[in-house]
Amino acid sequence: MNAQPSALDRVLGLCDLAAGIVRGTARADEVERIRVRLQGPLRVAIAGRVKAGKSTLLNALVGERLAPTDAGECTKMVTWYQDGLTYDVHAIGRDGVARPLAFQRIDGALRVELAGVDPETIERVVVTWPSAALRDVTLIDTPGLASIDDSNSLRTREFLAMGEDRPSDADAVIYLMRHLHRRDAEFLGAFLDRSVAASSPINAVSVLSRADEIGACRLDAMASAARIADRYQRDPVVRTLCTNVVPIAGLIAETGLTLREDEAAALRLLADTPDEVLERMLLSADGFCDGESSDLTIELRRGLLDRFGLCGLRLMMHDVQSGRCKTAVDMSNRLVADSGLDELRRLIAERFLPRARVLQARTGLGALRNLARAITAEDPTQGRQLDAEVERVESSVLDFAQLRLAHLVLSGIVRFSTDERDEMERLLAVDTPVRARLALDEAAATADVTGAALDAVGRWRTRSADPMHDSASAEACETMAHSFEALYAQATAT
Amino acid sequence: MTSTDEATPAATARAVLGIAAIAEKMGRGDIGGRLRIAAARAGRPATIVCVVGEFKQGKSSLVNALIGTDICPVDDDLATSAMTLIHHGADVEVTVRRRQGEQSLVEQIDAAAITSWVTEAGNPDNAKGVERVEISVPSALLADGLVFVDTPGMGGLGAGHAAATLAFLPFADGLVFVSDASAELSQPEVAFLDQARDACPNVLFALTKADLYQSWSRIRALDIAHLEQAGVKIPTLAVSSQLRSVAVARGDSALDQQSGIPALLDVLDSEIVSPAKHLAARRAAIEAMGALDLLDASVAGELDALADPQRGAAIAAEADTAKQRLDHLRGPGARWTIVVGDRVTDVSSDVSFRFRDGMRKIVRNIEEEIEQLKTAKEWDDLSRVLQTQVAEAVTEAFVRLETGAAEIRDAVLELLAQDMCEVTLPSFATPIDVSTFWSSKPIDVRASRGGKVVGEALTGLRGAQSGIIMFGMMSQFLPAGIGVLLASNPVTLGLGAVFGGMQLAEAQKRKVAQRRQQARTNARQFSDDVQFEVGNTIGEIVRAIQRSIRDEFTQRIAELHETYAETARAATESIARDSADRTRRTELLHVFSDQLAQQRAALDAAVGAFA
Repeated sequence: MNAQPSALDRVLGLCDLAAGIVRGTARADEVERIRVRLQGPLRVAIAGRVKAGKSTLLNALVGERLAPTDAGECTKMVTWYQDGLTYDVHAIGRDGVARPLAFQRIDGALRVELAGVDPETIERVVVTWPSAALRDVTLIDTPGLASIDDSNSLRTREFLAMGEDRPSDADAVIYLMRHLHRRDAEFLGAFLDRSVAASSPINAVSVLSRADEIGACRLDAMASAARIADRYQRDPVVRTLCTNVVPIAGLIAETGLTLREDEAAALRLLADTPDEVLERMLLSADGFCDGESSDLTIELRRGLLDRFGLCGLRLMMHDVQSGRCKTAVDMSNRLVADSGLDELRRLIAERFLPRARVLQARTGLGALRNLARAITAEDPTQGRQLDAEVERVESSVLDFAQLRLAHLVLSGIVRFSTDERDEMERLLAVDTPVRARLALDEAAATADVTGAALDAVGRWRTRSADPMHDSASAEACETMAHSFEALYAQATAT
Repeated sequence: MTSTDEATPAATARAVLGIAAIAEKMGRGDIGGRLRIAAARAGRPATIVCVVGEFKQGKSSLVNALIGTDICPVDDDLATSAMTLIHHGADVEVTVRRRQGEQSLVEQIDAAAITSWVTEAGNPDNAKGVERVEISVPSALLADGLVFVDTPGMGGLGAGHAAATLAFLPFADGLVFVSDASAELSQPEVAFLDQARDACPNVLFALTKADLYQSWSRIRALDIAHLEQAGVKIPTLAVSSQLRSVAVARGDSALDQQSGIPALLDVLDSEIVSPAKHLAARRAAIEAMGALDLLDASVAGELDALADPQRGAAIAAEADTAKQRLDHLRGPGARWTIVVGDRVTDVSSDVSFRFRDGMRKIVRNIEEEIEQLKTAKEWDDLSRVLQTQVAEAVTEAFVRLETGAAEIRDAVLELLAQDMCEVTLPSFATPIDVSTFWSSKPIDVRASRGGKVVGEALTGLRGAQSGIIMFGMMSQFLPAGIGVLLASNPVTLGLGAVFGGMQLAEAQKRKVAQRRQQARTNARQFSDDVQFEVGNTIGEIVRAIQRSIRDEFTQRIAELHETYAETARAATESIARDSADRTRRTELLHVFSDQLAQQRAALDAAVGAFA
């Protein structure tokens, strides 16, 4: 978006500098890791309380039943799912050593054999899985917070580097909550509360998960969940933590994406059950599996419940009987559409991915800053030199200033009017033509474009000079002005 | 409930009513009236069962399912925000108790409008100042005195409700903990149950929404294992409020059984309601024993007088002396009333002083902490500490009030026993043992521990009205007050700067300092508000305690006075009776005496069965 080298390039440059300083020492690996990370896909962590449906959502995003899910607490390890050429599972130990693990797929879900490796010594499990869905994003499944098994909770906290003086391994976070719970706010707050790599409204999105169950699995449950999500999104506390709250029925999404023909056939068969019998079956999970009520075997019915949940079954029965869904494709589309997954995908595509490089650069910057601090303890001159360079890059790259601007405004630290907020969001929209970012018509003449940009620069300069502003507001207005300047430069260059 | 379980309380009530009837036939309507009230209380003791759990777990639905109504508002989104008491009544009536400024208001509201009072959306930030809502519903389940307390969820930002709920538990008879079958118990839930069990011995766990999840039985097994690991063993039942409501609407008893609600009701009855009834029966029995002694003495005295006119004269004289002696105890200048007044003032000022002192220490401690805080998490922890400490301070004040009241009663008993010892009644065949007559206070078998606050076993707290008042008050100010403190969190302010660069700019530092100052001011303001509220309530309760002790003893003294007066009159009359009249009267008295002996045996048998 501007003629300067990109934020990522600048941070990669810092890596070169750091590599020179630490060459031949034990820290060389550390710099290499930062570099690899900067060039890899965006890392998105899926976090939340126990049983919030994290693994199910991960499967829905991948479109495969990859992560094991279970009624009880299931995910015990921080697990990375990344794209690759071959199928492969490794355990990365706390000592940094990678050990290959044997695995098999049962019903599609991965079963990884720890084969004598002490779980305590494993920092994370890395699953490499060729999948288009993982090309731009590496998904990270985390054990639930507020887990009974404290070591699981601890693993997640450790991974997200809560309360520790090191940057997080994730670039962005999808936070799953059921109803907004004190622990959720605490968690998001703590996640925010760290230095450079901290999360902020710009890289966190909240998911109101298991949304179908919130409305007691009624047919209108998702509409009800959408209203609740909307209310949370407008909550001032939530707003300072994330800008969007999306209702998602993870199980329905997962099943929709992985629906098999035999399941569709079973649903059609089930829909032929006499109305009064079917109505009684759909009253409760136990009733659904009651031996007498249907010709389908009990195992089959249990399987269907596992896959669809009571809500999914009620939805499917309603739609099959009304003729809305006939084929497996109809059903699959209907399930995915009802699940709310599309909205989350849209957010990832529009909010996370365009900013992915800057987010990564920012995470890398944080890692380098910590490295500089560590070096300073041993070699003050070189450490300070690196630290100063980090500082210089951070303050001179417009992208970082814009992230900070978005953070300040979205989290409510700096108050903009609604119009100003919209103006900012337009301005910062990545991968968008200059004219759209200035709210101009596509056909607008270049002169109009430059005029509008200059006008905005002047306006925001004046605002930033307002002596009534505190320093954060002044900084935000200054960044707005700078960004319009960059747009002006871009418009005149083309 | 099986018939043998019910036998003792029912038999006790029958015996007490029998004694009341005899008392009335003997012309002692005063004693009869008191016993009838005691029997009624034994039949339907106020048994308070608290329904608690994290929010949106289906607490209000469960209460509705248990009672078989839809009176408690249930919604996908809106959570219950006010403590709601549901008790028996002939008609559905909803009463809101709230505080507006310094005024306490009690209003009847339309049952259809209840949502606007008890939910967060209808009454945001409790702008209406609701302390509690009381609903009466005609219900067979509640007819025996069972009262459900639907509580606001414990989760959410601030979590003051958990602190308020724990503080109330020593005053409750039982607790139904609610968590749904969608997931295992979380660590905060287990921690809460562990603490709750200390304060309230009768805890049930209702695993709700079992209709939605086929794996509910596995979740239940996991939950039981988690609880056992924490050393908590409680009845755990899977239920479905939804199925129950369908079953009730259709009159489908098989579906009703499936809902698990009938099974929960059975356990509720055997674990909480029956023990409460037994205790109430015991209390009534002991009260009736005292009355029996009075009646026996009066019959025996008159019989003696009838048998021997000379002794009759002596009895009349002695009874008259005793009656005059009691006259001294009846006036407002009587020693015991002065003692009650003095002691009540002492307790009141002692409780208020300790409470204010406790609050001062809490605030000072918090102010120091505010200076030290660095992270948002610490700040959140701090507000939780503040909530817990305030809740403990308030509970301690109320427990002190209740124990203070019990001590005053004991002191008065001792005083009266001393005063009456000076009255010698050598001619009486069955002298009234005044020391046992006064004390109708049984030993509470379900002693509750006051949790961390008091540490020791407490008796007589359960069912104390002051507990409910306290809970309503706390569940109002604890969560709301803390919200103010959370909002002034200086750490969030610092974050913007931390996010951008490592050093806080001077201007930013000044702002953080301002926020800290604001937080201190807010904490102090919160403490002032709490002290104001609690101070007012302590005043009200102290007045109620004084009134109830005075009324109780005045009534007892009047009964005793009446007994001696009656004996004196009867003894004098008996001297004047001719022999035929004397024989008739003697026969009648023997009938009374036999009947009393029968009832005493019945009462003994009933009470003996408790052991």
